[in-house]
Amino acid sequence: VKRILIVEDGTEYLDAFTRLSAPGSATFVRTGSLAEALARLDAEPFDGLFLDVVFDRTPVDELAGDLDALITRFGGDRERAVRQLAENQGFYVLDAVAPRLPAEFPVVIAYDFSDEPQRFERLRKRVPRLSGLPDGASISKALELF
Amino acid sequence: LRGAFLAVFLLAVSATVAVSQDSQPCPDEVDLVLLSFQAADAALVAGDEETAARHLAAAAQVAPELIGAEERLLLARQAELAGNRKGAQVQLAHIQTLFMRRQERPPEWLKLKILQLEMEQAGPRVLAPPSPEAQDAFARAKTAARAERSDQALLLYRKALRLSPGYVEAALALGTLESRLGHSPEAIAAYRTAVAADPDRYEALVSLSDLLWEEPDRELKAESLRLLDHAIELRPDLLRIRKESAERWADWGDAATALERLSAYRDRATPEERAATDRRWQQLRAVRPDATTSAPESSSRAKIPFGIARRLYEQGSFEEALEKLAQAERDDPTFSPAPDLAATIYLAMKDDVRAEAALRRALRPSDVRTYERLANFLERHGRTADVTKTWEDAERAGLTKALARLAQLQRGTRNSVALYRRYLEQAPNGEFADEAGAVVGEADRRQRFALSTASAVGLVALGVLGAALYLRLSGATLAGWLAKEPGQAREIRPLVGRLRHEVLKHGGLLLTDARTRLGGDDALARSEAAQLLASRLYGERGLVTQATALLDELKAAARRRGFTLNFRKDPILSRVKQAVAELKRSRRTLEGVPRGVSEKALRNLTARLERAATALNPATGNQLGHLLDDAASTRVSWDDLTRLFASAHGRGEPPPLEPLGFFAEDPPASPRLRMEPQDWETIWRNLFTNALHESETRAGLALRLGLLGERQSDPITGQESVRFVLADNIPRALTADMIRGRAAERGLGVVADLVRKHDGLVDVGPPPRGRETYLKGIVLEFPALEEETP
Repeated sequence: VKRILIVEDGTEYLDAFTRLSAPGSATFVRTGSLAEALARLDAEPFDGLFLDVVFDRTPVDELAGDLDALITRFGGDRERAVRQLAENQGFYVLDAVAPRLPAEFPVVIAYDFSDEPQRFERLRKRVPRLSGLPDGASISKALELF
Repeated sequence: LRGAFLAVFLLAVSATVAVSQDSQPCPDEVDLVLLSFQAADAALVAGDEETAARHLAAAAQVAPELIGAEERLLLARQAELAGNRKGAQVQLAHIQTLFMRRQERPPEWLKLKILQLEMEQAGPRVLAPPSPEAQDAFARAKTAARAERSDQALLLYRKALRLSPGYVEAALALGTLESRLGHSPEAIAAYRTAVAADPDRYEALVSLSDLLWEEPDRELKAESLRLLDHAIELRPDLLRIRKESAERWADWGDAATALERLSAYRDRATPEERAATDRRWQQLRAVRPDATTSAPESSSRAKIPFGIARRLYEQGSFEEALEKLAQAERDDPTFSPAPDLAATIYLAMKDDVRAEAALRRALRPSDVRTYERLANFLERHGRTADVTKTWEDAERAGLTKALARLAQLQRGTRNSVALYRRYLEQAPNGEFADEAGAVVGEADRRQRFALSTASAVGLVALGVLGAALYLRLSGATLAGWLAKEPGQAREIRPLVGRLRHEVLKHGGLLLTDARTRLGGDDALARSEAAQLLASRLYGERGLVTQATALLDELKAAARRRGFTLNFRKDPILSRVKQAVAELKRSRRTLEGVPRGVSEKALRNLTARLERAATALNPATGNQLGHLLDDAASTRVSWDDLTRLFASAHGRGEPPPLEPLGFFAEDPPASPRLRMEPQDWETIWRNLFTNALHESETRAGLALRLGLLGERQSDPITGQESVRFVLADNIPRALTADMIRGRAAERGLGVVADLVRKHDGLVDVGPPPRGRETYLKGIVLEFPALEEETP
């Protein structure tokens, strides 16, 4: 039985995976932030990591990423910087955890890369077992990615 | 012996009177009157009414008070035959006076006859409809007639005519009854009233014609022929009266006309009918033309025993009357009045069997009354099938009333309405006109209602169809809207992003394996799955809630721009809409799963969820993304940029614009940016214009510009972007802050706004590496669409 760490701002994915996956196929642990995720990864063995992308319910100070740098980059536009972090939080978490993950560690991010294969390839250079979750994919399909 | 004596006496008196009238006037008027009376009597005995009338008229000139009612009647009749209606009316008025002198009530027919003559003198006129009182009397008369209460019926028919003198139906009915009772003069008077009121009333014409034909008077027979001819004009479709007309003209002695009538009959007759008239046809053709007017007039041998029988019947001697009638029938089997009267007598004797037999013997196609009488008889005995057949025969014989009676028998059928309609056409003021009018009116009303209902249904259907088409065809699709307003793609991109993520992605996860999750044997797992689905679909942040809200926001965004989005005709969003609808319909069952639902409901539920999942397929999200990118993207082109630069410069040779980075490649790269071309051009036109303007303020400055383009990607998100650097050799300082709003006077504020609008970056930096001859560079960075240069 695989153990999957889910990082999301809510519990939607956890609920879906837990209740809708085939019984006995996997267990799931949910965390809501990068810090918590890193702690879990350090403390427990996991067979995979599932990342939500949009964290618009997470407090700004809990969002991964360099907000100040973004504010500077966006010419002082803090709102835009926060939005950038929140809407791409999964990628920032991925960026943060990638150095700690073994090359063979499967990571699934809830993003459909079908229109951005080059982007996907760029990210896979850092996380070789990265998968994007296509739009419309089922739970069982998602679990197959691990 | 007595007859011979009378004849001799008649001849003698006639000769005497003729001599006295033609020579000198007799000094003794009394003698003259007496002689005139005697001559008239003798003429009457000899059956010469015309001569009798002439003598009576002479007597009346001298001693009118000695002229009795019967003589006046004769005078009136002769006057009428001569076309002297006024004279006839005067004679009848005298009769009325005689009755009054005797303090007796004048007979109804007398009044009616006077009225008829008045009407005939006044010429055709439109008669008022019968009064309600007259109609009531008529109705009661019919009831009495059906109950064989003839005396009461006669009184009531006459009352109806007295109340409404032009009441054709009452006159017809009275004529029929009088005729049946053997009261030929009264029947004739009644029919004359009917014809006077309605000269085109077929039944009245034929009935009157029949009665007049039975009269020995040749003038009356002539009138009968005229009436029958008029009836043929009115009903050329009825062959029988053509044949009857031919027979009568032949009897009258006019073989040529008879032949013509018979020819008209045979032209349209069946082969059998033609064969039946072959002998007559040959006879008529054999008649010499000059002999046609001298043929002897016919006179049935049955008339004498019939007349005796009539008197015996009136005296109540039924058996004797029946004997005489039997003799009349033997003498002339075609003489229908004999069996007709016999039927009346049998009915009075309550002998229905013989009455029916007599009625059947009396049937004559030329006499529609015989059919009516038999039909009434059969009706009273509940012989429905026979009644129908008899009325059909009557109708074929030309009895208009038969149409109404058949309609009554077939009431409720479509044919009944058709029969009533025909009746109304032939007898618009007929006995059954009210009833027929009501039925036809109701049928028409129903038809109109049906038509209007059908029309209304059709209109509603058209309306529904129109509404459906309107819903289907009106408004704009998302692609249509963005084709007209590509700039709105950027505005709605966040909405579409959320739709893709919250609805399409989560929808796939939740719904794709619905059958597996809800169809398992584990009730607990099924219940948990259902609960989860319900909460994720219908909760506050549920898929259905969010999808509905996002679609509404899309609609509202379009509406703010004056567009109405129609999701029904939108090839992409219709799928989302369909999925939402399926999910909404699934709610009750899904929420009921933990409590238990039927297998069928569960199957329906999973089918719905699968349909929703199919609608929310991955292609939907991708298509939405492509739609936005196609609507609002710009392919960067070096050629376009140099043209923009030349345009900003105006006339003359523009300063050099050096291609750097991928612009220097061969061919130059041409990335695609998420930005409308118009904004893209505005940015560069402002930048070029600003540079040109700045250079003009620097005397002696030979402006040089370099434009660098390079692809890059975000190190964290991996997202691709394109970086542009516009390098110049203008010594004036320029900072990022100046560009971001504080150098609006140089057009840079517009640039900053547009860059921000398209999620780009703008800055001021050093010139591109290796291109230090330039003094600075304005740096622009825009998200790029991941696409290889074609």
